[in-house]
Amino acid sequence: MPEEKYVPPTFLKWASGDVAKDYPGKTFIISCNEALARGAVEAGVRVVAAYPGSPLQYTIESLAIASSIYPSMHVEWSSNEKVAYDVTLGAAMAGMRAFTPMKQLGMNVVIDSLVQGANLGPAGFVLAVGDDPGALETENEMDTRYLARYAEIPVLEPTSIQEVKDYTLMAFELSEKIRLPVIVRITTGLAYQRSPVVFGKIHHEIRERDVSFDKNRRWILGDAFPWPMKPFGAKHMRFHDELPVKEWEGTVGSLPKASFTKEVIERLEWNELILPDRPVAGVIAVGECYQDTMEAIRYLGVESNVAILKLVTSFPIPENRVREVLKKTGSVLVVEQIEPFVEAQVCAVAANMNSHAKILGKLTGDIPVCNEVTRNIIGKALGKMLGRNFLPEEEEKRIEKGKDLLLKELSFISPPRFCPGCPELAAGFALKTVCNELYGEEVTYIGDVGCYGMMTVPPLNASYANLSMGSGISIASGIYHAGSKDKIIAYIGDSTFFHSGMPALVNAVYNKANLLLYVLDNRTTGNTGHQPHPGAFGITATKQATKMLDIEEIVKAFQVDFVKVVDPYDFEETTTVLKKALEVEGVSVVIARRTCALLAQRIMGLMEK
Amino acid sequence: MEDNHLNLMIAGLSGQGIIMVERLLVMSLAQEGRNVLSADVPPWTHRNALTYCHIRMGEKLYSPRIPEGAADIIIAFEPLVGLQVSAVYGKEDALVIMNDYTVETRGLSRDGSRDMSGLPAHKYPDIEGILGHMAGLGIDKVRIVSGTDISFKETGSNRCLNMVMLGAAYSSRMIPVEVDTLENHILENTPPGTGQTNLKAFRSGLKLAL
Repeated sequence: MPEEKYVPPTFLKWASGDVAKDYPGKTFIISCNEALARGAVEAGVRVVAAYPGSPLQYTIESLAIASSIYPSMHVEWSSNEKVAYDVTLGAAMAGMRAFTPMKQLGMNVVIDSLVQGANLGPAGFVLAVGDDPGALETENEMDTRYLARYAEIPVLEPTSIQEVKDYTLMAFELSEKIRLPVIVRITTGLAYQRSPVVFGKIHHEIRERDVSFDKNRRWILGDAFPWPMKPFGAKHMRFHDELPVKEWEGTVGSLPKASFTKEVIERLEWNELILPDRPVAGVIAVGECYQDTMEAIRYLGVESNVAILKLVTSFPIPENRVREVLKKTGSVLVVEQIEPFVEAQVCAVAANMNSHAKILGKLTGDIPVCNEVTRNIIGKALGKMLGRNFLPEEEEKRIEKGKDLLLKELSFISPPRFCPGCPELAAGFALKTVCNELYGEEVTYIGDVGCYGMMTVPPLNASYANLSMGSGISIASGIYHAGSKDKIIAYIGDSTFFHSGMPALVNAVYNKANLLLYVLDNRTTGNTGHQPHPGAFGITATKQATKMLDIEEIVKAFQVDFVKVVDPYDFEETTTVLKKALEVEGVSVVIARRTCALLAQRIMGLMEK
Repeated sequence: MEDNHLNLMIAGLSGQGIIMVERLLVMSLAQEGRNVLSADVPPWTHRNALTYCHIRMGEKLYSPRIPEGAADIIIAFEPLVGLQVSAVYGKEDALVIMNDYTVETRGLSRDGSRDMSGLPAHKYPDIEGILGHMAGLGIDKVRIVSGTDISFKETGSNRCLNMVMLGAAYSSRMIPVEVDTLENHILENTPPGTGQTNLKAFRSGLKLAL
């Protein structure tokens, strides 16, 4: 194992710190990630934690810069999203404003603590979630608003970068008012926009206020109520105004009730309603979709005769404003990204008020559910409502022809593969060579989430499954326990190992699985842009030196049956070790360790200077 | 151009400096008081994945995203990328400024036999074929630039391809910004120590006078 040069904690220079400094009233061109960070800084956020995930991974980088200016601020890369959520929840319980941005899949990891945490009534607690219509950045196109609804917490959807900044700030205030976590939902199309944003004042006094963890609050779900009241249900009852005896409200911590939340949302002026005298149609445009909806309306030249509700709070919706639109128009188009989440709520409002307005959108097939909702899609649906074409027929045909060309004639252009020089490609090649030689076709390779997802495609074709973070080891164990006679290989990355690989590995060892775990350790979180993690270079999100955890030592403590670190660039060594490991009965671990080629290149470049 | 709007798209493969060009253009346009919005569509951090940026300029803008079939100018850092992006976003009659250096890592090879990993691959379409496809969509104003070659010749590496392409695109006189503003941003807002090299590359693109 060749010695890798130790990289000092400051190996990357800080970008401009403008986004974190006091410039009230000044305008800066910033990205959405920076706007989220700026909103949190202005709110006087004290603790920020996250696990890297597109499209919100750069928020932490901006906040880390802020923490270098304001040392009381704590910013961390956590080992996974649930850990990040719990850390920030703790800070909120201690009376400080706390913030955790995550990707949409992160919400799945968080959901357990999210549902319970909402019940406890933390204040000044904001989550940002990056949803991914069209799955441009991730594997799945899930709509996290259903999870927010499940946890019964409000969702804000800003419609511009300025609003991202403003509403992130105000989300903290809202959270304090209604004593619930608040989610700011960002969609990929918005997440990578860049536009001028007017900065506001930074609330230093909020960040520097004293810790106030209330030990008498009973931050637990079980309240000691007398029979026949259920001891664990009380905190949930506040979401539905169903606490049976008034005196008990005090026990639940005098938390505001659902009707109060609804009232607050109803009064917010963020949900702008433009209501002409005799609108020919109505449009409810949610979050990012407001931009392209307005483009479509402008293109059609019907700005002054369409009722437009710009909806920022997609859960709960401001019912009175929706009623106003329904009363005045015969048909309403609901435009939102991914699932018909708001649309279904609007349908419910319409049904309860006996409205005969037609509600069009994803449920009626006027707008497709999958992929991003774009101007032309909205325009087409609007055009249909107004009885006219959006684009000229010829132009529509030309655009279709262009897409057909890509899908039919040029479909051989494949998505990206391993980057040139990738150590994981080298590691995969060594494994495939050994397995082909020893077992031929009788090998089952199970992947995990990370750059090594590329194992599923040529040239390696050495992974048959790829599900969620940390699932590879357990799926491989399951296949073994099901009775497979194949040699079983599971992959995991270094960052994924710390994210959720450890419990899975413990389980595999304890339950006597027989498999080879191939740890592809590129010493960074590669897929999302080289964020550090507990096993990489011993540096934190804020570029402080810290302890570096060694995966080899950890798996030794788990009592695996074989462990060895190899350099995947050394083909001879790697194949020899792999052969040895494959002979071992039980759980054997081979760690192929070499820094990501892109990162190594960058580090070398900086060292030359 | 629809109501004095300019829709400009920059496309290439990740790692080619696409987003840097976007930032420089947006900063320059904004500095001169233009109403400008932009959005990138970056892939994962992998090399050689399709990456593109939308830049929109005009009096009344709501969305930074260029609608399908509405890009006035496309700056393409790679030929197939130029075709892919033009086929979706190119307006009829759009101006396309396209680098001629091909990158064949995406299951493609120059002669159609094997790709870089030794597996059977598809043949990379020739430039005539690419231009033919584009002409079929009404996009026939394509200016081919030997951007990678120029970058190597002027700066010794292909890293300044983005600046050569920016210079070439600027020389079309379709981008309404003063050259001094743009050059200042190139000097100040590129990575430390690279300003002069980038400026040199930009000017070599400018000389092409498309």
